[in-house]
Amino acid sequence: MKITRRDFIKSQAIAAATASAGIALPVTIANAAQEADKDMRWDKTACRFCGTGCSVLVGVKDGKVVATQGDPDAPVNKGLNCIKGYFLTKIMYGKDRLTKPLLRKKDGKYDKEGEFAEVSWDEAMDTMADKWKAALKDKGPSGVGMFGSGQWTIWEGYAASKLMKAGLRSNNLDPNARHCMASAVGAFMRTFGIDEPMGCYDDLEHADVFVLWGSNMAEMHPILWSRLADTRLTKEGCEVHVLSTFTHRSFELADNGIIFKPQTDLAITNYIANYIIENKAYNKEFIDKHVNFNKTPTDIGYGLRPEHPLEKKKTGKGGKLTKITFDEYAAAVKPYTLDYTSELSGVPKDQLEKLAKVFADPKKKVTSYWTMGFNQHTRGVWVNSNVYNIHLLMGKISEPGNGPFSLTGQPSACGTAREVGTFAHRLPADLVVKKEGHRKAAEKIWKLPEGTINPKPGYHAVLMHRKMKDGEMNCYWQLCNNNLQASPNFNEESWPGWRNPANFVTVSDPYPTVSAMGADLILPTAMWAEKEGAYGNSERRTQFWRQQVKGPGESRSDMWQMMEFAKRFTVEEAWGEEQIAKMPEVAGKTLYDVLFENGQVNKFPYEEGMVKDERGNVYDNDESAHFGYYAQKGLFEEYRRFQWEGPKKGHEMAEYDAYHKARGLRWPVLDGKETLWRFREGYDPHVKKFNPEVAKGDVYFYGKPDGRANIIFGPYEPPAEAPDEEYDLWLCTGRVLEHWHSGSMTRRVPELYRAVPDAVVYMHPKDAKKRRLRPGAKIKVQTRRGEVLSRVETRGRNTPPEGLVFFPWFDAGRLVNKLTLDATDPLSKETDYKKCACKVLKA
Amino acid sequence: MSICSLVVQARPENLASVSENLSAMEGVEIHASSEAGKLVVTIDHAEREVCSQTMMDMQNIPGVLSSSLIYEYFEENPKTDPNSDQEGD
Repeated sequence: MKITRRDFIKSQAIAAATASAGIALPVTIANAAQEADKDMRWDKTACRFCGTGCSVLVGVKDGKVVATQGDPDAPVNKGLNCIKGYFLTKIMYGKDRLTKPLLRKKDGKYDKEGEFAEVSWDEAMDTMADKWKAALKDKGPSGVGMFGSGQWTIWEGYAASKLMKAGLRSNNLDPNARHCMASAVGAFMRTFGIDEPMGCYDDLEHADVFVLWGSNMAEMHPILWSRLADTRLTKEGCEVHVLSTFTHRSFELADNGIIFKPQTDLAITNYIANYIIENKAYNKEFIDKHVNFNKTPTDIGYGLRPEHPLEKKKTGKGGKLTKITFDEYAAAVKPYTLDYTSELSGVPKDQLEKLAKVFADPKKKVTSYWTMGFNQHTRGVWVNSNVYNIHLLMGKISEPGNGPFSLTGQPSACGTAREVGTFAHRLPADLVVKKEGHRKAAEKIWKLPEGTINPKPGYHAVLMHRKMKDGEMNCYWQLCNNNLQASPNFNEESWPGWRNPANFVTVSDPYPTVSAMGADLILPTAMWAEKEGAYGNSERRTQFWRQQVKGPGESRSDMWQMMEFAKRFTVEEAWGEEQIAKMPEVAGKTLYDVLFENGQVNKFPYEEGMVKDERGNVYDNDESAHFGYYAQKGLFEEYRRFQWEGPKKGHEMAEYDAYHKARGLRWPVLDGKETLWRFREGYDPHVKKFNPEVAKGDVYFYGKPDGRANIIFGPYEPPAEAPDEEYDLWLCTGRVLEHWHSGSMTRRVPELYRAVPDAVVYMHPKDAKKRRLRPGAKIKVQTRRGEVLSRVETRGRNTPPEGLVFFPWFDAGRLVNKLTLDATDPLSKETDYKKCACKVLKA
Repeated sequence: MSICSLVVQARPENLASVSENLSAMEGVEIHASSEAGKLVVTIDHAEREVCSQTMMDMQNIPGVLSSSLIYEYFEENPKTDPNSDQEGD
């Protein structure tokens, strides 16, 4: 029998799959499988899509990625990939990839109303720098802003933080992660004093019960879902509880599928706390030793513009905690009885009790997961804390199988957006701009004159658009995301801001997205495996990859773009004489000189051919070749100084080179060892350092000065907008499996586009009938802010209850954000994309 | 040439019906299965679009809990007939 090349490849495909499934393989296939590999170079990368952080092997042939395989050595995905992994090989090769800078021009010069014309990198950056300098002169550092990404590599985020906060002295740097998990960050800081989950994905095998709070893991984190499903199907007594405002794929595995009325998750969480207290099921020893009880100001508004009637009506403000006693906390949750909560939430009593019982049973190990359902919430910080309250009452935390776990949606929402300080109020390694000690530490590591870093937090994502509309922030640089599509209230805030004649908007992207089309200058970006990169996933795992292929045409990585942009500013232009007087030796230098050629970032020499894997394969590193030093390594090693020398311990990472060898490491990495469960002696070496007297296996929440976590009572309060007689339906938006986020990449893949070409509106059949709409009928969805045309769908994977419609937001042709309200959590400033009122009419 | 392999997780009690449904799909072969409901499947089809469509359709077979992609190979315009062993690449 002839063995063809196709047979070899197929054998390899089968071999990989049987290994992943744990099934034995016939020897002939195994042998043939090895043959297929001989003309391909394989190396590990981290997946470009969600926050799971799967390791993917990519096969490169003739300078192109032609094959991928789930990495069998990766602890996260154990050889599996989800369906989006199929498109990894294609996202770089979309036909409309941008390869040259494009500037709006009329009669040969820049004009906001002009047409896009190809320009050189020099012309692009010089034009942009002129605009930025004018804005700095006119408005000061608050006149410019950058909008970054949880999809940036770690060093891109770090370089951005440094360029904006140290270089331009502006804290107007915020990531798209603001729309995604700012509420989770807020609650971590308030409850534990240190960001990110204490547990890890190993809980997926250790837990007895899984509770999904506002997370459609089956579609959004399919690999974690497959691990969860494995445990559910093979472990005696394992249960899955799923909570949502509409039925989705994750309900297929649910033992208790709960549909609740929007916003009543606040009540349900308090009901469980009340149940635990009334039944005296709480872990008294744990709460006596490890917990403080607190309340938070209430009636705090909805993060709208101050002149909005809802803001004028509010009576409370902010999030300053007040200590209360256990009895006061018990009294606060007491009104959340089974009757009241069932009535308010619309959830049958037996379902609520079933959920409460698994938490209250000391023998059951419970892991909670949540994503956007909790975070995109005008009380997002509160509701995150409410789940911590339940876990803390029971002491079900920081041990295998027991823990609350906030999942992220982007590949480096944790590693980049959160950890390197790309939020408007943050600095690297959990430091914040408003604390003097933190600023001083940053200034020392960055070798800046004292007082360089601005103590005032900058504009957050939604505020940036308001300030652009109002003409107060005139330059905006968006990189590695699609915020014009993603931001709420397109008609009234984002679009008028972007097209305000006073403003100059730059978008760096591989593709002509909605944002790129709305910009004044488009910079073509080299993406993912076209550069050396690093991501940090949801479980604190930092993963590196090498540059696999070259970016097309004149595309350049975001890191290259930011470092080159820094060359266009002198310190005189950026810092002013007062700062230079404190450090006269910097006079006449550029920002690039002081930020990047500072003896630290440029410390590691680079020469062609030095990036090699263990098998001897050689890889390019285009940026390092351009700058003349190993730029990624220099940036990472400087960033590590924040972790090891900064005032906040607990974020330590290993040396740069260690990550090219490992399948990622979960920080804190001490003595070369990763940490799986934080805050518990025996798992986390920091515990003993902070509390030498700690008992064996006991916990210590060292993020807080007294080692205690905060239980914080957050009551039910109504949402900013709810259905009424005129706008009679809830509008909820979110993602679908086939399209990742706004679809910038996945919609470039023709067959994905064909599978789910346009966003349809999922509606209950009775609601459709009431409006005389047949499935597939053309409709108009209207809110107080705008209208969008679509079609109605009453079947399929998402089935809303009566009174609610689900309208996905990946579709650039059907911009759901013309409808959404820019109401945000006043604490986290994260938008609530899940709740506003709409009406649906025949079109 | 587009070839990929997947592990499909079916509810164990639905293994037989899921297998039947899978086998009926164009370009799909089942290579192994386990009592726990796991199936090793390849999709091999000249048309890349058929592969991806099939992959999505699999998710909607009743009794399928999840499907994971394991290996994926794609080559545009192979220089010679992919069924020949005389390929120069």
